[in-house]
Amino acid sequence: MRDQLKVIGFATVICLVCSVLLAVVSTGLAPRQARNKANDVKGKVLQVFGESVTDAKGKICVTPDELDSMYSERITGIVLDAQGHKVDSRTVDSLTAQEVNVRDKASRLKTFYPLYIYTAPESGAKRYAIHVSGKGLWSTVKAFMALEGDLSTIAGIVFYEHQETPGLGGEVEKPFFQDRFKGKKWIADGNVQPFRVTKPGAPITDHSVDGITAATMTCIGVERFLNADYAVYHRYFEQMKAQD
Amino acid sequence: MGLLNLAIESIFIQNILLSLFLGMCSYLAQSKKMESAKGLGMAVIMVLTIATPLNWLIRRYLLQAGALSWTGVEALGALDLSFLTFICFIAVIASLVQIVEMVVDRFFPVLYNSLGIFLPLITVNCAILGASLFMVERQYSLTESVVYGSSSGVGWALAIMSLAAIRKKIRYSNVPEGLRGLGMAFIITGLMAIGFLCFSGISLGG
Amino acid sequence: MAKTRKIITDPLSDNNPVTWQVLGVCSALAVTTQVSTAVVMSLALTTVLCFSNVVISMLRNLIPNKIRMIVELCVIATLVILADQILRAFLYDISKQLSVFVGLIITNCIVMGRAEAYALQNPPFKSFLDGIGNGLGYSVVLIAVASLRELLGSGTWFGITILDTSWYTGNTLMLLPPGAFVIIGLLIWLQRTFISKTLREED
Repeated sequence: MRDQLKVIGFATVICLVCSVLLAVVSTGLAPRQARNKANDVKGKVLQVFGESVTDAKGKICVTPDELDSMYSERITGIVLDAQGHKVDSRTVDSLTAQEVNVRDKASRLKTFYPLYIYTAPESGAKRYAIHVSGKGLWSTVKAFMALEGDLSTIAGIVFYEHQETPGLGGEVEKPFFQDRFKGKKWIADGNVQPFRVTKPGAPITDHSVDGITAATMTCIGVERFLNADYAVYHRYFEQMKAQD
Repeated sequence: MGLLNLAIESIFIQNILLSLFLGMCSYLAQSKKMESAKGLGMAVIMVLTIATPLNWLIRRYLLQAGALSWTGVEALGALDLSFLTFICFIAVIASLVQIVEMVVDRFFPVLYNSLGIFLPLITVNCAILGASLFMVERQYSLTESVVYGSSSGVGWALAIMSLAAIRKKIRYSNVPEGLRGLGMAFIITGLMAIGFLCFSGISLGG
Repeated sequence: MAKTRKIITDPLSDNNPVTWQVLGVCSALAVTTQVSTAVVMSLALTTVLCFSNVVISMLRNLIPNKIRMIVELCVIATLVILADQILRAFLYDISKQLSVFVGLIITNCIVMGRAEAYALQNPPFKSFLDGIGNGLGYSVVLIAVASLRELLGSGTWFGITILDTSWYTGNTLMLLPPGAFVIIGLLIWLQRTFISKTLREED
């Protein structure tokens, strides 16, 4: 009996000590972790607008404070729903990864679509960044795409998360591939053109880029979600233009 | 369709052992004989099928941010216990393995005779914990987690049984001395992984 | 002193955790496509191993034998969560790359194995050294595999270009899972042939 009590007592003490320790540490570190997470997204958004906040390897190289002030000065975000209407009750910072990446099984649409608006510090000219993501070959590929003020010309794209095959589909994260998107156009003669990621060697138009050799499935996936996601944003852009 | 895709993906394309390296310890140790490979494979399938959805429920209703809101108590609803994920998962797996062992012993003595000794080994098999953690990271739903758990198990069993079969044949081959046993097992696994890479060409649609 | 040194150096060659004891291989390989992630993973494992050895060694006379394993598991899991939380707070980029693999240190056979086999019988300081030794052995193998994979796969080491792309095309197979298996197999061959002739496994 005494032995059993001792066992139970020991187990209780160990559990208490461990859980108190963990609770203290995790509460203490939580703000820092939350900030890391938020800054990660902020850095990616600034990067796609061509701000030099990251080094050659895509790591953030400015301090968190600089990042915060740069972000709050230059960028405003709005949230769109799957129909392309503005949702006032949510802010871009409050969106979860699930809400902006997971598609509804039937409609193939996501719950929310964040739109980031960049105001140039001197000229006040506006540019826009949309969030695009979807299945590649093995994983969900996520990216931000920046558009010029005409809402058609691509100013840049940053693929920031994927688990595609390194060296094949994984090449999407390399600058050489992302640079191919610059200057391409979504709209011609007032209509949205289907954007193509073609097999290498196919003729390149204003609405297509060369794909990655030997990564056909990843390229097909990228092509599919780029078009699907742009279509939603395009509805909002139409409303925006109509108001002007 | 989605579930079938998920199953094919986790058995062949993203095989938990051959592409994620999970569960290597017991895979290497228990693949010398076909009998034990089969026993352990079945035990892993069983435990994974139960443990993954169970951990899903634990995470959804106890650990996640706001998971305790079903209690109706506001203070509990605001809690985020996700830092306890690892410790809860491993505790669930350890106790589940014990319970499964007892249940099988009591009701299925025949099964116990062939699986029994392998069950305790499973607690420290990283495939089980790994599958639960991946299930969290990939944000599967409850049904998806059942499918993911069971098919990961099938994938693992497939890998260990193939290795056991190959090792049986290779025993009579003239392998360079230093490479015998463990070294060769790794190289065979490498070749198997190359074989499984072919599956990544399968178009799953959607 | 010689004996103390032996505790550290032993696991480096003859008792190398990965090749001889076949421990800990599981959670290690998936993070070996880059040297930098492998280094962080090694550091995390070594730290967890040292501290779990020390804690368990300090408790060794108190732990009731019946719940020995579960207490060990509890201590290890707590330390792993601490490591994970700290990585997330201070090395966010790397923690994202390591994803679930930090958590898998819990089931790493080295940590559990050393607690059972060494820390339960030895005083804290010696257990600490044993932790460092075994952690180093693990790190050497992990970093060796990662170096080979990164060098042959992407032509870089620690992100620094070594083999220039103008004449060297990265061998993608090295970055894929099979590369890791084959490299480990070859490392075991090397080690068994040149370093420890005495160890043979029956098969």
